[in-house]
Amino acid sequence: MFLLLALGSFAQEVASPYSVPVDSANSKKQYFPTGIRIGADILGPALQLFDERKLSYEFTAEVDFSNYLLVFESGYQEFAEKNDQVDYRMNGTFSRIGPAVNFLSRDRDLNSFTFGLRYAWASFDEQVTGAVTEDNWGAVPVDFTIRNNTSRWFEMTTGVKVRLWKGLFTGYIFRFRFGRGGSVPEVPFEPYYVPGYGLAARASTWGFRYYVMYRFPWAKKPVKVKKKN
Amino acid sequence: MGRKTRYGLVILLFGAWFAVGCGDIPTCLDVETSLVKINFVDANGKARAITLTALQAINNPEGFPEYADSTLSRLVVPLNPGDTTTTFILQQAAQTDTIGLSYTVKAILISPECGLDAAFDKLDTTFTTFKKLKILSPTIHEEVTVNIEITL
Repeated sequence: MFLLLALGSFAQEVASPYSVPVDSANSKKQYFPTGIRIGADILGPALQLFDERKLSYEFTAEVDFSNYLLVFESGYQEFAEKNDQVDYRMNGTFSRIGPAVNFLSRDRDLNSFTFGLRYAWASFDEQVTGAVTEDNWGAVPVDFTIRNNTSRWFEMTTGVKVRLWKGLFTGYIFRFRFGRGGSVPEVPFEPYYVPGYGLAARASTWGFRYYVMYRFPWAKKPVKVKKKN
Repeated sequence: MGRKTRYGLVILLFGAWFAVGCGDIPTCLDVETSLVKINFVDANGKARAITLTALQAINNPEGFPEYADSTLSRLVVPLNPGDTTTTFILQQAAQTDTIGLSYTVKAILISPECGLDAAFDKLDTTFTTFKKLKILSPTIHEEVTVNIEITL
């Protein structure tokens, strides 16, 4: 929080090439979009260096409307593990869309500290081979391929984005995912891993992603500036 | 290095610290059960014991030797995860009874490390030679105390 306050106060002291103060001439334009910020998650590919079972690519795009944002995110995930007990593979895509509010609306460098909501959905395939072992019945072989599984859920998010240099931003986002539902597979196998959500058996999951983003502006953003006494 | 760049790097490190340990940790906790719980009662609803000489099930040639020559008023037996029906054969000294059970079964991956398990539900009877049989709970779960009550 101290960091955010420091960012805010620092931004107000210096003229910014990315924004203009709101005045009577442009007050009606402050709700018009002034740019699009697109980016990619760098945490997923980095974590694959330590955990080869998971592959994750995720991209994001957001457009500003005053201190509000419309955010769209999409990605691709794979999860695969084979051991003596089971061979499990999952691959699929996911997307999210939703609004966010920026609490650093006075920041003239367009840094952001946001809270948002998302509606998310995923489409994925699963393949599992192994055996169920029960007392007195021995090992019962399992070999299922589930195509076109679908799932949907909701998310609450909070995150920070900071301008590093010109249009280049970096930042992270926390997600709380909940309310998952989805299609019931025709084969008797409960979905295990949902791309973008995590373990399907969990009623809620947490997520964390780290983005590198670039903002493409088409206008300077009108920003409310505190008047000095 | 500019002031804003330093702020950015601090935030980058702050986030990386949070990222540590953010994975899905598997827990090999088996929450499912295949056990169906059968109580034997008399006409007044009180427990009544039967003496089994053997307990068998169709498609299970080894049977359930732990129940041979035992007197009991409660039977806890596992359902067949490879089928959606299981028929139990209860052999007593003077008679033989059967219970045919139907249910749904689906495989659950606890985790790749922990392996697969089976989840049973929607228990019902297909047939029985007992005169009175009542499904008290169609849910197969450890917390369910009685699934079937048989009045002798």
